[in-house]
Amino acid sequence: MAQIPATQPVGARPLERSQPLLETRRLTRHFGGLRALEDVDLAVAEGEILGLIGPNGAGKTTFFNCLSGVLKPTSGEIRFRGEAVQGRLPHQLVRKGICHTHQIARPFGEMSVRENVLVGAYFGRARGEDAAQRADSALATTGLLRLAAAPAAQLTVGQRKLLEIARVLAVDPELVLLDEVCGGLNPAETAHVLDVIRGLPKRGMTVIYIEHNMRAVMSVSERVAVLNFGRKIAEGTPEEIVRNEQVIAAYLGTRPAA
Amino acid sequence: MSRRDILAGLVLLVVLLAIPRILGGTYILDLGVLTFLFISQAIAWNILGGYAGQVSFGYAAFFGIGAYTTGYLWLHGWQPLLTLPLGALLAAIFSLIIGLPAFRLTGAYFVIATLAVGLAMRVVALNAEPFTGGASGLTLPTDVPGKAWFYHSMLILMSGCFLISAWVRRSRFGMALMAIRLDQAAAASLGVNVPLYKNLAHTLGAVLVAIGGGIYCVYFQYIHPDQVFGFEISIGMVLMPVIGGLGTLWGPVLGGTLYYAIQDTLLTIFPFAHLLVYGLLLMVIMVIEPRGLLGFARLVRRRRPVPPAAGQRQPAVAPS
Amino acid sequence: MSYGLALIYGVMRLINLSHAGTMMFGAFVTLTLNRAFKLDPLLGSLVVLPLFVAFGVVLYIFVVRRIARSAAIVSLLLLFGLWLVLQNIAYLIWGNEDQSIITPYTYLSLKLGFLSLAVTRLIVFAAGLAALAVLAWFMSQTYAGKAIRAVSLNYEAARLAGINVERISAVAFGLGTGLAAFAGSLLTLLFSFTPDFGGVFQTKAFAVIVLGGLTSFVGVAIGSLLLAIVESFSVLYMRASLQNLIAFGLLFLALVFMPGGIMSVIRSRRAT
Repeated sequence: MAQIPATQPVGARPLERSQPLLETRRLTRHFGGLRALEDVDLAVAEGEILGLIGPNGAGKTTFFNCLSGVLKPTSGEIRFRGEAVQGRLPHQLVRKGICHTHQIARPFGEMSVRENVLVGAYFGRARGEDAAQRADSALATTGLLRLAAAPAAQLTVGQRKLLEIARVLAVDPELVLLDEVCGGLNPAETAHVLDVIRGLPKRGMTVIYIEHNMRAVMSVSERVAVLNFGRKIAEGTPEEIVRNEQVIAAYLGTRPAA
Repeated sequence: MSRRDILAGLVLLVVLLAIPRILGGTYILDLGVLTFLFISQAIAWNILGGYAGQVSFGYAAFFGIGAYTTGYLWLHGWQPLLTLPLGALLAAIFSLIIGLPAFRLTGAYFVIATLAVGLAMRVVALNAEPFTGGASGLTLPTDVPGKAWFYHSMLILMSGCFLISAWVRRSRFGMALMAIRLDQAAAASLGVNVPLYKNLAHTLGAVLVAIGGGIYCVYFQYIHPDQVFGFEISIGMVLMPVIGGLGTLWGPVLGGTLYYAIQDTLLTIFPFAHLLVYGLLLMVIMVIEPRGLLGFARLVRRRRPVPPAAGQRQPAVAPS
Repeated sequence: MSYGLALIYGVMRLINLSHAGTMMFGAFVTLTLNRAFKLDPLLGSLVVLPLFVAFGVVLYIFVVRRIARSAAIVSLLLLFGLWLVLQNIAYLIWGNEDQSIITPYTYLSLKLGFLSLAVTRLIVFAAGLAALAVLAWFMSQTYAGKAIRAVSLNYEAARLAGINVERISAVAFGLGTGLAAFAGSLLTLLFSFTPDFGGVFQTKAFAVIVLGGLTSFVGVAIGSLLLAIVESFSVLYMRASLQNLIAFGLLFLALVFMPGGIMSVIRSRRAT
């Protein structure tokens, strides 16, 4: 199986519309004294794949939780297609077109793989139209079709992550938030997942992708944003980010003054 | 509902219709009325408690509402049958009043809240004399249909509950409930409107239970808060599906059937300790086989080695 | 004022790791009430506490642990069953009548300016505060206390951090049980009681917790104060038999208007 290619990322696409698909303005979330997110301004254009990286505890998952409605921001705005959506409930946001995977996969254990995906198909954005078709298509894309009848509880970690993606695909959202889908996967599985992710914009989806596996995220993202201690410290193409001093400092620590 | 289920259901229906005609006498009719009532309650509760996984210990509230609505209106000249839908409506409204706030609570807190509601309703009923007759209960007119009428109406109610339960199970509604039971947050993240479905299940069950309450009122001709709002009713509704198989289609039916026998036995052997036994029963079931009798049966079936086919049986004695 | 006890109950809930223990509370209150006959209740409560901590631990080891990995419903129903069992054992042993404990100081009251306070209520309040203080110290300063908080926040992480979750769970469970029993025996100073006392009190305690917000100590304190105030006033206007509904009513209002409790209104957070 091919290694993760050290490819050139898809060339930085110019933002085609003046209005980004998703925009956060001064997004802030505190937990008592802990400032998990502080004034984060981020814009995502339609059809792009935005990578979101940062050291542990930088606030990435908190960011996703605010976007997906699991948490209510302490202050700031989230605009989806221009409409303010911060503070809405998760299922309402799914209706609007935002859907997320979980960092630790949460399959519905007692249901079969197919039934898991059907939940997304029935209750997702399209509200059950062609649900069976969308479910099967999602299963095919992620390669889980042959496991369709298996109880979800019996899946391996890698398969569970794929199931998370399949469920989200069945929802047919406009914006997909992927939270560390490569965590715990072997290289072959990782390559497979990355292929799936790369194919998402062609299906009309925009992706924000959190990942610790640096090569993975760099190889699929067109742009990358970096969070550290709740603040956005850099944004740009993968090449720019890799060379950005602040980013390097954030991950490796600063060099003591000579 | 699989073909096997449909067949079993039909056979059962025929049997239940035939028995009183074969055996005659009123004892079997009385037994039937109460058993069917219990089973209906169990099935109704199972929709919220078994399918959706939300345990409510206050369902007696709806039974009582149904009973008292019928009782009160009947005393004011209404035809009892017309009061049933009204009782159901009131129960539905009340279930929303409780449900909308209560479902914001998680797990144990929800249970306690429902428990509180159930207990509170009893107190309210004891005190609201103009409506409920307070501590002396309501005594109702005696010109009621014969026992056979009640037998059949409860049978209809039970069958209705069963069909509804079967339908829910296979429907999208049922899928949402199961997703909620398994992982509420994950369900919400996929677009399931969790509060909506919880309330729907709650209200559906409430309506079915209330109808049962209304019929019961006419049958028994006397109702009292301790009886229809009593904790025994609430816990019975929990125990029946638990015993038979929580969250299954036939579990409540099985549990409901056994419950009547259990209740009867307990009241004769341990007249004061029946709640104690219920508690023990709950504990024992949870520790040994939380999925009830049906769960146990499934386990046994899987473990047993396949028995040899009839033609291959070993002769017991070597032929001489 | 006398609801310093409610504080304890509220705190006890905060200890609970899973849905365990909440139902236990009522049962233990009942039993200890009756048991504290032998000694003056204050001393009795001190005896009762460790006794029930031990009982709780034993219970955990033999019963609760078996189902620790099952669905939440299972432990819920199990403990509810336990509550029923204990309550009814109490009925069988001690009967259904009102019991009360009279001590030399039961009828005394203290005059502070224009207020006349019953000594018993003061004692209970003081004991409640003391228990709360000790508990707060325990939770923040000792290894066991911190471990308990860790486990209740994030089971997996705690395990990875090397905490022996099994043992800590047993401790927490025992602690919760013991505290409930302790609270119960203190209550004997205040009220006459029957075995089904637990149910009513549980509702009140629960109301306190929801009012105050499910996750904060301070909220619980505010909540119990609120409940106490409302109840004292209501005596003037309502029939005694409806008294218990007040807690319920407040609970309901709280749920409708401020689901996160008072603390959430103050801090405008959403409980996840």
